[in-house]
Amino acid sequence: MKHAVITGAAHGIGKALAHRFAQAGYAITGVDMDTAGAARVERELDARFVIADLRSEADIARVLPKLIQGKPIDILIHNAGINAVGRFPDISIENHEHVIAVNFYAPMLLTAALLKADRIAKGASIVFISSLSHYTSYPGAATYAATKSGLASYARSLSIALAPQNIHVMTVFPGPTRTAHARRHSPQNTREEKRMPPEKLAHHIFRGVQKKKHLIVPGATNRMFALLGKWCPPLMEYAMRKVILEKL
Amino acid sequence: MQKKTILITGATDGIGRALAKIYWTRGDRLILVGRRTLDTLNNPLYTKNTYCRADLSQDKCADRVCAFLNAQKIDAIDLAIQNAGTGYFGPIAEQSVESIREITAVNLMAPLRLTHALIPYLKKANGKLVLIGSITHAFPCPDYAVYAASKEALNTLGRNLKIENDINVQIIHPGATRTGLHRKIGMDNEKTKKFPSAEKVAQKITQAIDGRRLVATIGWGNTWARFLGRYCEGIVNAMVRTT
Repeated sequence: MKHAVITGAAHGIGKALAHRFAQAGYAITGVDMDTAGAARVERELDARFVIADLRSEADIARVLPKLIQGKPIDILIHNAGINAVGRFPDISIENHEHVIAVNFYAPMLLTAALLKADRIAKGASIVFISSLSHYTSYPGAATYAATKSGLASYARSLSIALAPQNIHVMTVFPGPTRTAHARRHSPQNTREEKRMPPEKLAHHIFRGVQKKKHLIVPGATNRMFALLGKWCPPLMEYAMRKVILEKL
Repeated sequence: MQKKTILITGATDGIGRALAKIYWTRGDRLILVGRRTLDTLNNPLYTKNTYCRADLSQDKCADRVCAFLNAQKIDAIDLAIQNAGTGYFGPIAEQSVESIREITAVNLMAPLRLTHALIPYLKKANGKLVLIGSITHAFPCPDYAVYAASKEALNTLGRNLKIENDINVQIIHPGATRTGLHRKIGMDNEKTKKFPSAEKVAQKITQAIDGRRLVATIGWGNTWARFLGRYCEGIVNAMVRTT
């Protein structure tokens, strides 16, 4: 039985990923800070959870031995992410720091430690959940956008570094997704039904892993925005300012 | 020209020191931030009125810098150049936790903390924030992934701060430069000898700072390389993979 480790697996995209990979016959190890949410997913899936707050380096150090003693990892998905929304000076420095810790620092620490311990199986995939903001910009969440772009850069380097060991690396750039996380951080939720359901996103990611893709932007609309943001940044930046920043 | 108040981090070595010299000869009021003790810096640039000793890998680094500014009765800054940076060279699996922590702290956390703390000072002088990145942010860097990732994050932070438009921001990406960094991280010395000197690069950085571009890359070759790295990802990845 293959083994998938998913961070932030108690809710949202992570939970949908746990379901999708369990359905394909993977044994699931989830990492999450929410004990109750983790227990719920454990009941639904027969998954095993390790409780950890990825903001805390001490928690990461505590979790690592458990992952290292576990079965070799065939899929590692860095999904856990937090956001802090507002104009940069209005967000407290602690919140900025937490965003960097969870979204950027924790994935790099976990990846390096698991590689060092030789826990990533040959032929495995490491998946990083970045964000469409990498292409479109995200004023009103500058630090979030910074961590997600940084993560994409790390994944790109890792992809080349690990190719000789036959470890596949994929970066996902999801657009707006219908999760509690998105609801909390959006200026308005009137068009919530337009957001991609997490189950659908999880399926895109599952397919991307099967096809050993290096980079996926799930959804045709998102792909269009990514292209616009890449080749005509001022246009997307203007749109993001109108749609997000000015409505905060 | 009017005398400006200029803060430079990582000012005891390499590009930072070269920048400090240039602005010193222009007669500007300097605040130089570095990790070394003042008595090891034998240069008229560094005095107890200009040199603020602060370890940017520490949580409270911004508090130290602000305390120094208060002690010097400085409440407005015309130019803050966040230049301090550190690196690592070698296989990802061999990089220590300490190294990942230090690179994240110095290259990303510190600029973020200082920016947050310095915004009132910059606003007061209608000043400019300059983030020193690196062209490596546009490339896959299998031997220094964390470094390149921290610079990519810095680039994106600057881009979004610019859109939020609370302060004037500029991101400057130098290419490889002959500084103490390469020796410190154990990169091969033959290659690094051919890199342009810190003085030359600093000269070009000051020109970019006097200009208005949001993102400036130092040198034509680097500008092209960065463009390719960003817009021809597939080709560049394949090129890096085969070398």
